[in-house]
Amino acid sequence: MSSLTGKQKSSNLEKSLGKGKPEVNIATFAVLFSEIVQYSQNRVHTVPELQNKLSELGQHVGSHLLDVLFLREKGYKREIKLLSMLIFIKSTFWKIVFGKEADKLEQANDDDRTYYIIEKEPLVNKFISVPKDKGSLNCAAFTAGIVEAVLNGANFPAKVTVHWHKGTTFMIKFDEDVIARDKMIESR
Amino acid sequence: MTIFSVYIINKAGSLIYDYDSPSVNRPAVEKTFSYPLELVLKVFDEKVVVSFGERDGIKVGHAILGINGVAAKGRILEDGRDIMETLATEANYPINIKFGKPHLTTNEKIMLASMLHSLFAFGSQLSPEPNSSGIHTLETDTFKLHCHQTMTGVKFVLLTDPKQAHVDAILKKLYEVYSDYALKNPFYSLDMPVRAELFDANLQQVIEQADKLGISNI
Amino acid sequence: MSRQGNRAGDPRKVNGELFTLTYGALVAQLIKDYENDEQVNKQLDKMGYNMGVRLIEDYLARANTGRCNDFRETADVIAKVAFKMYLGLTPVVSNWSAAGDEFSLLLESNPLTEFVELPPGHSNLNYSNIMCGILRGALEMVQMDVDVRFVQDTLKGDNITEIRLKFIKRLEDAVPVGED
Repeated sequence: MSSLTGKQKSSNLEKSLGKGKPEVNIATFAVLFSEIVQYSQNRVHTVPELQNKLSELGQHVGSHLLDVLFLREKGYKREIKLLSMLIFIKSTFWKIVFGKEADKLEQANDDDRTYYIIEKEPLVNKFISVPKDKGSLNCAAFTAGIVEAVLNGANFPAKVTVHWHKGTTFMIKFDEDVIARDKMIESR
Repeated sequence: MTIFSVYIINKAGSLIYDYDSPSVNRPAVEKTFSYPLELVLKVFDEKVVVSFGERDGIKVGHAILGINGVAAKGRILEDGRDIMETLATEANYPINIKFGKPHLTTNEKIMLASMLHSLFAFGSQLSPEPNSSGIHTLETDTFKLHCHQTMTGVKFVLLTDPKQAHVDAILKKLYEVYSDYALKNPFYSLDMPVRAELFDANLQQVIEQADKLGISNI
Repeated sequence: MSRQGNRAGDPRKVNGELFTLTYGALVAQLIKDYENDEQVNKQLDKMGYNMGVRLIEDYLARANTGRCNDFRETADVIAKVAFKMYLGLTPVVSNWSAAGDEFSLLLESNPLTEFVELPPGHSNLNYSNIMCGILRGALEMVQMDVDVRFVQDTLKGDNITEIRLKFIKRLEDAVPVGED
């Protein structure tokens, strides 16, 4: 199957998803997402509230996505090391879900709990121009929610927030325990 | 080969988008004058125009586009000074004035769009055959107007150089840009003016590409 | 069908699971926000309508199909072009009424309902009701007033999912003058 594509090195995970659902037109997804943003906007008053709402919806998606991935991929080995998990999200996961790898993964200089995933043009923002009166609003809060739920589901509890920086930056702040655990694993 | 302007008119005949290409060179004449000014000026239609006296390429009907490098906005300058008052004051001389063909104001564009909307329908009524299309093109010596109406009633209007090629392809591309960056934006309300960064950027890209394509096709 | 290779190559496609689960998140939110299934159905239909009036422009800008001259042609275009283009599947057109003003779209699979089981106590929920709204909104923009509803749904134990479309009238007043 994959021989047609000339890509031998695709991981098991990608192959298995190849058998999954057919893709849909980006237009179908975009008008659905647009409706979700409008609906959410009508039920809140402020930009942070709207971002929270979008993040919650993203978390719903993320937690189920994780199930789908694990369910379909019996041979999938769960990542136990923090860095491997982050790389998995930045590359394999991002490629499956958003069609390309995320642009960058960085660690904060001054804080070992904080990491950044940087994406110049997140899929959900492809057609969205935020009006000036909405200031800092970034609808990729939805994407942040997805990432947060996947991390939580994989036992790396973290808070993921979205910022306008180099395009969009997802700031991932892990719980203390996660870092402590990771240091233990590393030292073993 | 150039595209001068793009207008989008909604199904009710209201202008929802207009774009004038900055690369279009509208001839402007700049000249430094000493007091008193030997041209007769008047305020006409919220603009300061030359009513009498022609010299050095400055013609009757030209409007003042700027003074000493400050652009004019109707009868005042961008810094808030009244143009007629400024020119009447001897202390402001010598003074540099820029004249040229007046730009259409937004209100004028809205009016013209709605007239075009009616004219389009008029065209189809004049036809001896039933169910004729509306007006597709209007041609003058200096430009050609192309109009494409979608099945939903939105009109895409393109003003181009009479020799511009691939107009249909450009109109189709513009429709795609509209369907993506206006209609898939949650902050856009249907039939309202289109104000979106990504829409502007992508529309401009289409026009730049078309300009290049036109040149390579001569 | 191998797709992973060309995924990066087609920027106008998105992962089907992402789409399905995003829709699932919306329905779950509506169930939380509204008191009963009827209200959720209504809200889904309304949101679908808003999607349809926008999606039709994408369709007209990109698919090269002209205006349909009768409802049979419309049925064909919806099933073979529009569904294929936007959801990647081709429903079967069937059960025509004698007058030719009513038909059904039969869907063997429904991309909106994969991994969905209706939660207990929501027997009146039309989970995929958004589709009715989309079809209604899109057709209205090309000046056709059409009634769209689910008559069978695999989510409710039926063998097949069936959407019924009934032509009501052509919206003559809304037809743009001077159309090609």
